[in-house]
Amino acid sequence: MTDEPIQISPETGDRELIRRSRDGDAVAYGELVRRYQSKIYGLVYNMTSNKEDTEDVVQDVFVKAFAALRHFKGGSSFYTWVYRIAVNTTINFLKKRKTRAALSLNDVDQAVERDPAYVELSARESPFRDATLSELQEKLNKALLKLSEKHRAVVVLHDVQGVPHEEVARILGCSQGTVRSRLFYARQQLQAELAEFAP
Amino acid sequence: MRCKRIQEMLIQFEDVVLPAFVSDHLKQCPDCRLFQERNARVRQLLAIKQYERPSPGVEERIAADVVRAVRAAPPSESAESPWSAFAWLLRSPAPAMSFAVAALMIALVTMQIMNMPELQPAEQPAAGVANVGTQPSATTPTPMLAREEAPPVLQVVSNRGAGRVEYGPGPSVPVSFDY
Repeated sequence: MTDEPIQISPETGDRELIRRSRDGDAVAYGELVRRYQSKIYGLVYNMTSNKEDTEDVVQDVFVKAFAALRHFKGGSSFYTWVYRIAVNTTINFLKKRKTRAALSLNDVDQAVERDPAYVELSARESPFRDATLSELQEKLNKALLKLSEKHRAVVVLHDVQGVPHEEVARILGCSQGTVRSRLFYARQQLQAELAEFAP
Repeated sequence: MRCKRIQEMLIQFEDVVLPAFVSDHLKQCPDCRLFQERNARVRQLLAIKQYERPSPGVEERIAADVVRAVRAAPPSESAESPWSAFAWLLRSPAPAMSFAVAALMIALVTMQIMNMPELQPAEQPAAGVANVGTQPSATTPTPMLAREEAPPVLQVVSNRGAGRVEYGPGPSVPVSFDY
C-alpha cells in the first residue's frame, strides 16, 4: 500500500481515483469514500434504522468495495456499483441479525423546516403538526421496518434518496417493472402504517 | 382490476405527466383519487428523511476507519492477482482461440509428464529368465519361472534296465548319471 503525496483535488475524477486506489493509494480511496459515504450512510441507515449498525455496515461496504476494485470494469458508474454492494451487504446483515436492534435516530438538518412538503404538512390541522420531528422520524422508521428488505430497498432508494426507477433497477439488478411493482406494494403497506397522517 | 392497473400507472408516471386516460379515470373514480392523495402524502413524509444526518464526526471516523482497514489488508487483497499474468487469455479478441491454445499447452505438458521414464510401468522380466540376486541369501525367495515355460523334465536312464525314466511334466531334458 503506497501513500504517495499526490495532490487530490475535488476536481480529480472518479476514474483517476479508482485507478490510483487499484494501485494501492489509500489517500485516493479515502477521497472516494468521502465522496460517496453520505449517500451510502443514508441508504444503510434507512434500511436498518440503527446508527451503530449503520456505522459498522458502511465501513464493511467500503472495505469490500476496495477488495473488489479490480473487478470493477467501469461498465456502470462507481456510484451504482458501490450502491449495489451496499444494498447486498445491508440485506445480508439484516438477515444475519437475529433480533431487531433498537431504533436510534439520526440528527435532522434544520433545513427541513424550509422544505415545501414539510411546510405544507405543518400547516394542516393534522397529527403531523402536533408530532415532534423525532416522533415523526420514529413513526417513519417503524413503518419502513415493517416492509421486507427488498421492498424497503426500493422505497429508500426512490422515495428517500430520489433515485430514478431505471437507476434503482440497475442497482438492484432487476427490471423497471419489478421496481414499480415493489413500489406499488410498499406504498400500499406504508399508506396503512401511516394512516394517521392520511389526508 | 382496472383500478389496480390505474394505481400501478400512478406509480409509473408519478414524476411525469399522466397519460390522458389515467387522468380521465381519476376524474371519475374516488377510490383511485384517494389512492393518489395518500400516495402523495406517503412520498411527502418519506422525503423528510433525506434531511437526516449522522452525528458530527461520524463520517470522518468512518472514512478514517476504512482507510486504516485497507492499509492493514494483506497485499493480495489490494495488489494485482498473481494470475493476472494470464489475464491476456481472457482479454484477447478471440477468446475461443485463447482457450484452444491453453488447452493445447495443457495437453502437451500432460504428454511430457506421461512419457517420463520414472512414471513408466515396470517391465515384465523376459520369458524363461529367472531373476536371481548376485548374493543369494537364506531369505531370498526361490525365483519363479515364467508360466509360459514348462518346468524341464528330469530324465534318468535307469541302470536297472527300466529304460529312460522321466520325472516331472513337460519336455524331457536328457540327463545321464555316471555312477
